[in-house]
Amino acid sequence: MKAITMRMQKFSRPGVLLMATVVAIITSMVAANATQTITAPNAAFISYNLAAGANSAAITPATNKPVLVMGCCTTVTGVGQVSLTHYPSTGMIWAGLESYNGSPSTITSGFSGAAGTHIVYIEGDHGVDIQVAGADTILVHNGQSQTRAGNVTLVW
Amino acid sequence: MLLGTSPIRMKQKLTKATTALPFTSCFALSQNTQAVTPAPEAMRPNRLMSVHGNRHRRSLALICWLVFAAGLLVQFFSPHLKVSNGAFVIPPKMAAGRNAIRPDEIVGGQRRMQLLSVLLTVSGALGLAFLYRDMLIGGASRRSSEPVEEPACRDSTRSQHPDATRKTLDEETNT
Repeated sequence: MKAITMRMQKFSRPGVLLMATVVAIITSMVAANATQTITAPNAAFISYNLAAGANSAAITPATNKPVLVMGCCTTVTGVGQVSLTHYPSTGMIWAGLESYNGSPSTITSGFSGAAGTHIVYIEGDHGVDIQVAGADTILVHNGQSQTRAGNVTLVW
Repeated sequence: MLLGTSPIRMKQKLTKATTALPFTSCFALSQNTQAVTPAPEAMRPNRLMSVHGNRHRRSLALICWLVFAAGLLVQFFSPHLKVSNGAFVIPPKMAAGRNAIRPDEIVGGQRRMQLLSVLLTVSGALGLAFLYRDMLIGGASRRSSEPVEEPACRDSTRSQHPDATRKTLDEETNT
């Protein structure tokens, strides 16, 4: 009986240590992932790849706080940005800089909740722009006759 | 295998294994502790007490494993958004869809899930470490010291024969 007990004791020790190691590794992995997520700043990176005349999915910016909307086109060079505030059920107010298209960049600013209102150009040919999609949303519109790809980053 | 895969994939693989592991190991460990403790026939009241203690300990272990597994499940089902250059990358599928994207809600939800997951996992792991501290620390210390049987026997006799130890202490003080 004592021998059996001893054998079980000997067998259980490495098992317990192995289990403890597995638990420790999993816990540290979860903790590392959570730390990365929790400490990352409030920024979202959205890619777009739009056919001629197409629109991206509507994007709802954070409400009642300034949101920096930066966009660029990777197909044709160009970059533009605006600071925008979303007033729920009312619309957006923004101020920023249009993309460079050969002549110095111009200021863009406005306040609207009407769909299709231009906010900022993010492509060098001024074909791709961010528009108001509704009182609570914005979207990326490709007004060119070719496909355009790029990305938009929102920081709030 | 662990080095080749991404941390998220690794977690997903490990989660499946570890959710099944707790329930079997919980009982296995508690059975081992029962088997390790000697129970002579003369010590029946103490044995009853130890059975109650073991039951309590087993339920605590089960709770800890459940908390730990719940943390892993939350981690498994949380939306795994990639963080690149300090920004959450919204999946292209989501961006190309018809539904409106709410980045602040997506990011907030992800944060909440991760926080809940880490709290559950860490508290479960700490609880387990506390519950099995004797086995963990004992195992480590016994490996370093030579005799395996003697200290355990002494400890068990001391805990099960408090009167005997008291007598020896009294004798020592008298002399």
